[in-house]
Parts: sequence; structure tokens; C-alpha cells
Amino acid sequence: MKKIDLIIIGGGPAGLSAAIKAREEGIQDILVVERNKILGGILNQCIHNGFGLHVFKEELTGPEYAHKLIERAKELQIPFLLETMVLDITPQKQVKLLSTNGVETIEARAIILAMGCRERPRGAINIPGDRPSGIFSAGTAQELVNMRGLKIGKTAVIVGSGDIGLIMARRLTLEGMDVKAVVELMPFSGGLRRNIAQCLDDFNIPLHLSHTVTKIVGKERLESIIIAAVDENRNPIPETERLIECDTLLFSVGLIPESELAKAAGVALDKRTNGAIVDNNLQTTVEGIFSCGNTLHVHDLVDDVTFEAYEAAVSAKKYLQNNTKSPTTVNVPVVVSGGVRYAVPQNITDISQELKLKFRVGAIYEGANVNVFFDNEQVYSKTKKILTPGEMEIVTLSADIIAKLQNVKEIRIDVK
Amino acid sequence: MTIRQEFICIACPIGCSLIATKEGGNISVAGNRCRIGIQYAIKEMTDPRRVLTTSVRVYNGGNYKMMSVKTAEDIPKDKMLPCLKEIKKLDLQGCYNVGDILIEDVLCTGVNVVATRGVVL
Ligand SMILES: Cc1cc2nc3c(=O)[nH]c(=O)nc-3n(C[C@H](O)[C@H](O)[C@H](O)COP(=O)(O)OP(=O)(O)OC[C@H]3O[C@@H](n4cnc5c(N)ncnc54)[C@H](O)[C@@H]3O)c2cc1C
Repeated sequence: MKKIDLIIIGGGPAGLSAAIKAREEGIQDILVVERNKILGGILNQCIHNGFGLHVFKEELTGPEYAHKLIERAKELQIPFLLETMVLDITPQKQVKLLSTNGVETIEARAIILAMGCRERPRGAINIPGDRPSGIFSAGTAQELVNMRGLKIGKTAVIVGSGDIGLIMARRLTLEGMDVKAVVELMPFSGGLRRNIAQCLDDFNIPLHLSHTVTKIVGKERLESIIIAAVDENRNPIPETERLIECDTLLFSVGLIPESELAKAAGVALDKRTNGAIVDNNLQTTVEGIFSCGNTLHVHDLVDDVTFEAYEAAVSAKKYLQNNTKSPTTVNVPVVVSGGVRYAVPQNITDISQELKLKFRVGAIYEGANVNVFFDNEQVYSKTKKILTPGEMEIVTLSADIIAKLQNVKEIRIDVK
Repeated sequence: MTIRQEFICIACPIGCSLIATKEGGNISVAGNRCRIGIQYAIKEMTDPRRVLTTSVRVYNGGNYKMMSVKTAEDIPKDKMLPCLKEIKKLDLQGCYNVGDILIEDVLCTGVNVVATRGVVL
């Protein structure tokens, strides 16, 4: 069986950034595997600007950000396979590939998972009514419009006011469609302020908060939908129902990490993130398999994806250099409390380095305290002007603080 | 004459509701919690600008491919739709690289329209 030191699965920003860093760190034998015809992942369809301020110190569009990574990867002569899909990974790190050449299995000494995420399908939120054409997930619509140049309809309503929904509202308007409304179940938008101002307000597109779609009407093609306000338990209030005529309905109702391969490899998953459980080297519960980017947990900013992928690459290098565990090894779980919905990494094993603890809250908090405890001792405290579910937060604990973890039973991160 | 406009500040997720009032040459801003809010409201009232992005067809070896493009800098907000019309008029063929200029000084804004993704045969 063919053997390779490091196989990276996925050629999006996470996979490319990991490959670049791994090569810069001196790993020679690398292979990037991408199922699409081109590298760059989801960035290729994100033609709007707002990427790269932290990594490249300039505001780029998605394709430009991808281009910079691809150019660097080519400069470093990193080998990659396109139109090749990873079908399976075993706990022994045998990677099964499918391409036009057929099926091949390669054994890797280390693997970095970078498969991104997928969109939550419409079925997941169950709306009664007909099943006509004209209903898309927002990401699919984005690909059809931006990459294939197709016209998807004349009048649209978008369900979900996260960034993807907002960006598609502007995009469809610019393509000549009449976007009648964005409908959001929650009393707040999960999207950035900037996107609400520049994607909706600029074009006078109304945002209906605390609303849902109660019915879909249309025989062959979508003809109309019925929306209604919801009460505090998110149940529709019948008296508020009203009809909106539209031939297109977009669903932008969340992203889920792509975790099938991790599961196949025997990697334990976190129920809250739907991604792998990792330690602070971004190593999963299977030795030598690392995870980063949207396959680990959903990121809002591609810059954070790149930085996380760099970490995974440095860890993979350390792993490839010495398979033995270092004396600084512990096993301390990270638990969440108060308003914290999840935190990554879920386990601390290496106390020789600083820790970047990434977390998200479940609701909006103004003037809240973010606290970190080692058992009962408070080691970090900061008051934040605002925390929202739409924005990932990062708490950095210095190596000096982490060194104190030797005899600690758990780390707790709390928002109050 | 007094002009009054309302904005939601985009500087941070708090999203203060700003009210900008213009009287003669003076603009006063209310509703902000920090200085950035004042600057944002004044800019939005006097010279709002946006970067415009879209994608265009390129005829390339018998079929067409989509190429993403942008205005290399921000343009006045009210020029967005007119500039979009100019971009849609483009009739492109062949190969392009990231950064290639497709329209120079689009509608006298002083800003070029450039490719953000390459197209090869
Ligand atoms: C619509 C949208 C708008 C966004 N807007 C912004 C923004 O304005 N600013 C910003 O900073 N960020 C933005 N983001 C976030 C950012 O783009 C993502 O966080 C980032 O692209 C995730 O990178 P990734 O490499 O983890 O995943 P992806 O980009 O999804 O890459 C994963 C790659 O893995 C490949 N793959 C998956 N499974 C397999 C397999 N089995 N075998 C082989 N290959 C496989 C896929 O084909 C894909 O190419 C946006 C995201 C979306 C979806």
C-alpha cells in the first residue's frame, strides 16, 4: 500500500492553509485531496468582499482570498489531487480515494480533516404545504447564480437572516430579482450588522424578526408562501398570517460540520458542535488525526479558519516528529456553563503552550462577564460590551497560566 | 433647512440606532455610544460608499464561464446600480487573471472594475 506522511482532506481555505503551514514547517510528503474541479472550497462562490483583513491585512473577496492561498501552495509545490473524493478513513489511517482512475487506498501517518460543512436542509425545519420547484438552500442558490450564471426566479423570499441569507438578499437584488422579505424565526438576526445595513437597508428589503413560514403554495412552481409572527415559544400566531407572492424561496437555516469521514475513522463527535472532539493540539480522539476549519466547528470568518489550520499543521508536524507523548501531557476536560453554548478544544492535553479557547454563546448578552476557572480558581475575567450567537469569541490563556493545569480536574468557561 | 437621517451603526454588534441631523454646514449625531458611531453617521450622510461585486460571463473555448469581478475600491452608493449596468454590458472572451482591469474609471468614479477570479481555457 502506498504511504504518505500527511494527507489533508479538503482543498478549501482550511486544507490549503494547513498544507502551506505544514510545508513551511518542513513536512515534505504531503497530499491534498479535493473532490471539486478547483481548489478554494466555498470561497469560490462567496464573490462578495469582507475576507482576509486579519490574515492578509486587506479586504478581499472570497475568490481573491482563495487565489492567494492557491498561489502560495503552488509556490511551495504542494501536491494535490482534484476531482478525487475521500470515501472512507479507517482508525489505522488508511484513506480510500475515488477518482476517474478508480479506487485507491493510501496509508497516512497523519491526517488533517478539512472537509468544511454542509447546509442544513429544509426538511430539518418541516414546513407544511406543497413541494413545488423554486425552493433552494441559500448556498445552492449562491452557486447557481455566481458560478453558473443562472437566473433562479423573479421574486424571492429568504428564510434565515444569518450572513448567507443576508448576502443572498443583496445578490439576488443586484441580479434583478425582487426580494420581498427576509424572515427570521429569532427576535434577532444572526448576521453581522454590516450585512444588515449593506445587504437589506441599502435596498429597502424588509427583515421580519420573530416570524416563520407556515405554508408553501404552488403546483409546479412556487406561487406564494404564508408567513406568521411567532410567540415567545416560537409557535406561529394564526391571526398574524399573511400571504406573500413569490416564485423563489431560499433557506439559510444554518450549517453543520461535515463529519461522516470522522465518524468512519472512529473519531468521537461533540453533540453541540457536530464536529470532532479535539484537544488543544486539534488532535481528535484518534491519534494522528487532526481537524480544523468548518468541519471542526462553523466559523464566521475565513481568517479564523486559516489560523486554526496553521495550528493543526504545527501539531501534525510535532506528531510526525515524535510519536511519544511528552512529559507535559495532562488530560483536563473543558466544560461550559452560563450562556456558553460550546467551546473548542474540548480537552487540554498539552500544557507547554498558550491556549486559544474558542466559544459561542446561545443568546445575546450585553455587558456580560467572560470567566475561566481552573476548578474553583478564576484565571481569566473580562467584561464584553456585547456577545452574540453569530460571532465566535476567542479567549487566549498564556503558556504561564496553562502551565498551572498540572493538578486541575476541569476548566470551565462561563458567561454571566 | 434641517435634514434628519437614521442609521444603524455597523461598527460593532451592538448596532446603535443613530440619528444624524444636518443644519446648515453642521451635522450632529445622537444615539451613539462611542466616537465611531459619529464618524459612521457623518460618512453615511455625506458620502456613503460601497464596494460592488458581481460575476460576468466570459466566452471561452466554445462555452462560457463565470468570472467574479469587483470595483477595485468603494464607489458612491448611488452609483452601484448604474455601475452594475456597465459591468453587465461587458462582452468578454478568452483568458483573464485575478486583478485584470475590465473597465477603467467606471462611470467617472475614478475606480476600475477588476477580475477577482481568473478564467483559463
Ligand atoms: C455563503 C457564505 C458567506 C461567507 N462570508 C464570509 C465573509 O464575508 N467573510 C469571511 O471571512 N468568511 C465568510 N464565510 C466563512 C468562510 O468562507 C468559511 O468559514 C470557510 O470557507 C471555511 O473553510 P473550510 O476550508 O473549512 O471549508 P470549505 O471552504 O467548505 O472547504 C472544504 C473543502 O473540502 C472538500 N471536501 C469535502 N468533503 C470531501 C471529501 N470527502 N473528499 C474530498 N474533498 C472533500 C470540499 O469540496 C471543499 O472544497 C462565509 C461562508 C459562507 C458559506
